[in-house]
Formats: sequence, structure tokens, C-alpha cells
Amino acid sequence: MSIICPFCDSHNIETIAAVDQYQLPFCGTVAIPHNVHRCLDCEEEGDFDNTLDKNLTKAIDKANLDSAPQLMDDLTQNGITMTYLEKALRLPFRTTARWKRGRLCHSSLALLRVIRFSPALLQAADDNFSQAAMARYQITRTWDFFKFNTKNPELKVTTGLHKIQITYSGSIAPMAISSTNPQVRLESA
Amino acid sequence: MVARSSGPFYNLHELVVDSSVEGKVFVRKDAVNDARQFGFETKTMVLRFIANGSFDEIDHDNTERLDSGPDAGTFFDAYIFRLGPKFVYFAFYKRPNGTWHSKIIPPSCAW
Repeated sequence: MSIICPFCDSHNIETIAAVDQYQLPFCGTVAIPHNVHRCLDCEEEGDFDNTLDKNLTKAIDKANLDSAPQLMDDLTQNGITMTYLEKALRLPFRTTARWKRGRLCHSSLALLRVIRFSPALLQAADDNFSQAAMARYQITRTWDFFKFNTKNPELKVTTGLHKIQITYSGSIAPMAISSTNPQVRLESA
Repeated sequence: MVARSSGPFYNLHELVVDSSVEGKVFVRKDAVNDARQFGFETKTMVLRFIANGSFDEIDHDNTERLDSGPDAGTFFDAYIFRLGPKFVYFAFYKRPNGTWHSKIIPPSCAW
């Protein structure tokens, strides 16, 4: 059955090879080769007969799930063992061993990414998300920013009657910095 | 041009139902590229989202005629809904052969 362009109804279609880059959080980009239909009349491209896009979607899903071992390795390299992760999150033992073997779902991957983004959440989870744990988490976020992005970071806490004052300081070079990437390293001032 | 005070031309629910039927709804390549800003990497992901039919704070934005392309003169409906902290412009129209064409884009790129 010939393929018809869904945008201009032309039968003048060719199938071309394409390679697109997809971002995997914390794991760089992955290049995924796939085929697309191209209309030689209106020059529109896409999946005209609903056979190609599903394969591309599956390949992206697989690439995402395959990134789990690297996320776990990153955490381990930063001193967070999988045993501690399982304990803090109240997961069944050997859950992460199954994840490493590729047996994980999208929600498990999402959880790993959240922990990779903010490992301090594990401490809060370990403390059963208590009020004290939440306060500690909220204060240490800003401290992490100064720790990773400035030279000679300092944190000073002054308490008084019904009052608390927290002062963060550090030296930075006179350039724009991003607070969204805690691993940005700056030149010293 | 149809005044903005008129209601939608199409039945949104019909599009939602058709989004789960293979070959009924198409998304142009540039629209798929725009949809990436909202986390939709492929046409399939866009259609899965539409087929879910769950649009937060959706509001009909406008109904007008396409002014160019092979479907010039066809009415399209446009809505704006919230996706987390972002607003999304969602537009679609139906061709005479019964297929839909839709796009999910930032409001600044609207038709």
C-alpha cells in the first residue's frame, strides 16, 4: 500500500534515514538513528503511516531506562551506597540490584533521577521526613550552592530571641553563574 | 475571520478519542520539535498526552481560518492550558478526509 502525505495528500514519498539527539538527564545525550518519511512535494517530514514513530519512541524509552546504572554509579561515587538508598527509601532489599540488571519501570527511573538531583533528600527520607529533616534540607540547599559555586564559602548563623539570621558568603569571579547546575566551577576572583 | 467571542468550531472530545486511533491524528515535524519544550520527544508522546484528555485549566483561546498551506481556509481551534508552571498553546483542525492535525507549542509561537 503506497504511503500518502497526510499534509498535502501527495503520493510522492521517500523514506530517509535520520539521527536525532536526545537528552538523558545526568547522562549526556544519546544519538538515535531512525527512519522518517519525507514528502517530495510539500517537504514535510514525519511518520506518515504510523509505523516509524513507535520504534523511535521505544528506542528513546530504552535509552532512558538504560541510563539507570550510570545514575546509580554516580550516586555510589558520591558516597551513597545502594544499601543506604534502599534503607532510606524503605525499598525492598536488592531492589537496586534488579534496577542495575535493567528491571525497572519509569517511576523507578524518575525516583533515581530525583535522588541524583538532590541526594540530600535521602537524609530527609531516612529521618522519615520529619520537621527537623525538612528544615535541615531547606537550609542546606542554599549552602550547597555556595559550596559548589564559590571560593572560601562561609555560613554564619546568629540566633537571638525569636530571631535567626543566616548569612552565606563566598568569592566569585565577575561572571554570570547558574544556580541550576551545582557542579559549575568558577575561576577564583 | 471568525470573531474570538465565538465558541470552538470542533468538538475537543472527538479529537481526544481519535488521538488513540492509529492514523487519525498527525503532528508536523516542526510542531514535534516545539513540543519538546514540554517533554514530548515524539509524535507518539504528544498523541498519548492528548488521548489522556487531561488538560489543566484549559480555556478556548480562538477559532480562526488557516491563512496558508494546502488547508488554507479551514477552521482551526486553539486552546491554552497549564502544564505545571508553563502555559501551552494547543491548536488543531480537521481535514475533509477526517484526519486531524494538531500542535502543542509555547503561546509565543501560536498560529
